[in-house]
Amino acid sequence: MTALVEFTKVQRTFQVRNPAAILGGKRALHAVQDVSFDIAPGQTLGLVGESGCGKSTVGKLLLGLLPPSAGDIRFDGAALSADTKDPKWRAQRRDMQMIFQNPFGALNPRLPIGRQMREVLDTHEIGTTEERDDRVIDLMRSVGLEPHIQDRYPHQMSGGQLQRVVIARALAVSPRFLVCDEAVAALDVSIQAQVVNLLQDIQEERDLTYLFISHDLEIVRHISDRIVVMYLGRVVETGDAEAVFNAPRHPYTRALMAAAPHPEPGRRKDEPLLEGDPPSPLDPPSGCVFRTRCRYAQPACGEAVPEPVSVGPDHAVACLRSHEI
Amino acid sequence: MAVTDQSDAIIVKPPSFVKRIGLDRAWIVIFAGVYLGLVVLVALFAPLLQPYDHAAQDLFEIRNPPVFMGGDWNYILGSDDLGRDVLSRVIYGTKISVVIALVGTGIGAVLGSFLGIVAAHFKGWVDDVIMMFVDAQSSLPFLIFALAVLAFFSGSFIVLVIVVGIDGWERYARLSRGMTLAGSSNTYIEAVKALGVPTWKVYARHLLPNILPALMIQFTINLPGTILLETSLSFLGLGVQPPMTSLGQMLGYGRDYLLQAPWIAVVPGLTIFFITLSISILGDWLRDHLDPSLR
Repeated sequence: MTALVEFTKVQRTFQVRNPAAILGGKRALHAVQDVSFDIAPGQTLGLVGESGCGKSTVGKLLLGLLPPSAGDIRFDGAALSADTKDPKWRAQRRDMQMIFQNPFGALNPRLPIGRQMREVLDTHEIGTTEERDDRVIDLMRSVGLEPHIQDRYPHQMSGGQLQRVVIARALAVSPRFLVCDEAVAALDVSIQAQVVNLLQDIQEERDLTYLFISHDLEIVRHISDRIVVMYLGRVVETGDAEAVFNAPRHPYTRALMAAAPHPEPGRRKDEPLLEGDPPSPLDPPSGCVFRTRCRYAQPACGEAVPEPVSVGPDHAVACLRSHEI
Repeated sequence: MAVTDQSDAIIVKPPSFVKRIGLDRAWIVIFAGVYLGLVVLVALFAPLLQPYDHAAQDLFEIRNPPVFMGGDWNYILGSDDLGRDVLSRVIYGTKISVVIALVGTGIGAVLGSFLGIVAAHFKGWVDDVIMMFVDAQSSLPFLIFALAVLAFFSGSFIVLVIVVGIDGWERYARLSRGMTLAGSSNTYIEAVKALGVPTWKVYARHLLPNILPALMIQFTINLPGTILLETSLSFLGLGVQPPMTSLGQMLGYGRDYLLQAPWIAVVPGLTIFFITLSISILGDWLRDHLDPSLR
């Protein structure tokens, strides 16, 4: 099976002003380093990690909203354009879309929601003028919204409804690939389940491929086929969702899962919680980036960045000691 | 959601001057609106409303007092030192002053806002150059600059309008640059860009409507200042040149007769005072009603 999205050894560096220097002095922030993964058509890849580990940057790179500093990103076999002036970039918008974290911020407060969905159809010249009106109604029905509320403004609607509008707007171009960046994090827990189920339903109906970025492990486990775990800009563990969740092999993945609140008390309490904050991505540790917080760290961990090692049929870990722990 | 409802109520803004002295009551706002409406009507229909020509002199009827000071109904607001009807002159002067203020402020608003958005869009050296001009403009004593320009092109009405218009452009530029920079980082701007909406449409449909209320409020803040600038320039003799007249020019002319015939200066003076006050009151009301956080 050929992958729809191929992400090969991608790096992204930001030049940031050195906080220590008063005048000038820019430093490189390695947001994403050497990240590789594939997503097969119709699959959902869950991307998890702490805040600031580069998850959202990966999402933006995949959509061509940011150019990579190095590496190769392919969509459906063709190189991805990240140049917004390129006609090819505009054409790519019809293949891939994004669901944003905060639906309250993702919609223009001064335009009725129907017109915001309509704008996408107008921009990409989908259908004739009359067809577009019907299309907006179809879109609203497909995400479970009553068409008569299309004249409402965002402040007249609830978070769950707004997220449905955001999803409908993304679906307007009939994309094949959606990046859901913390798509349910801003919603009430009761609404989260509804939106996740909606995302799964439309995935089945429309044969969509998802990159699901989240820090909520339960939701990721529920929706994902495969998992990528990131720490400080690097991939530490990848694999089949059930394999990773049932038998996490990287110390970081284990700590992450131990930290997640769990409905069954007493489960997985053997792993101690992580202490402290991740090191600054301006000045990452040498070798394995996790070694400063890892209880299995030994001197060899600081020498070279560990290569991913296969530990199962579809399960790879970037840890020197994965075979012992 | 109860928590957010409470936090909305806790937002405290320092009250404006208009509010502190209790000028935000509904009837005062209505009064200000009606007064400004009248001023605009007078400006529009000035030639029809003038009992006399504003420049017509009658040397047998000089310094007639207005009706309320014991004068006759031929000169309702009295006549000046050359026997010109003060009422006719105030009507005509209102028209000229309103035109200068509106066109002038309009030039400043459009130019300044445009440059501010351009600076925020292109960033880098374009931003630096535009902001350098903004800084230069705001560090310049504008009245001196205006006097120099007007002394050079003495008597040109167009130059006067342009000079009055240039005053304040830097405030619009600063405001629109700041709002554009802040607005561009909004998720909904990012979202429509990610959807492939062309840049000009992003500005026209999403950014501009969201910064327009702030620019309109800046407009109402600037407008009284523009009227007063025109008044000052005319008062100093470098503004509107006779036989054309404006409220400021009448005020400057009436200064010489304050003891003998106070109405010559007081009538246009009061007209200016109430125009600027009404704009301030209405601007304040507008600010409250266009700010979504106060809704």
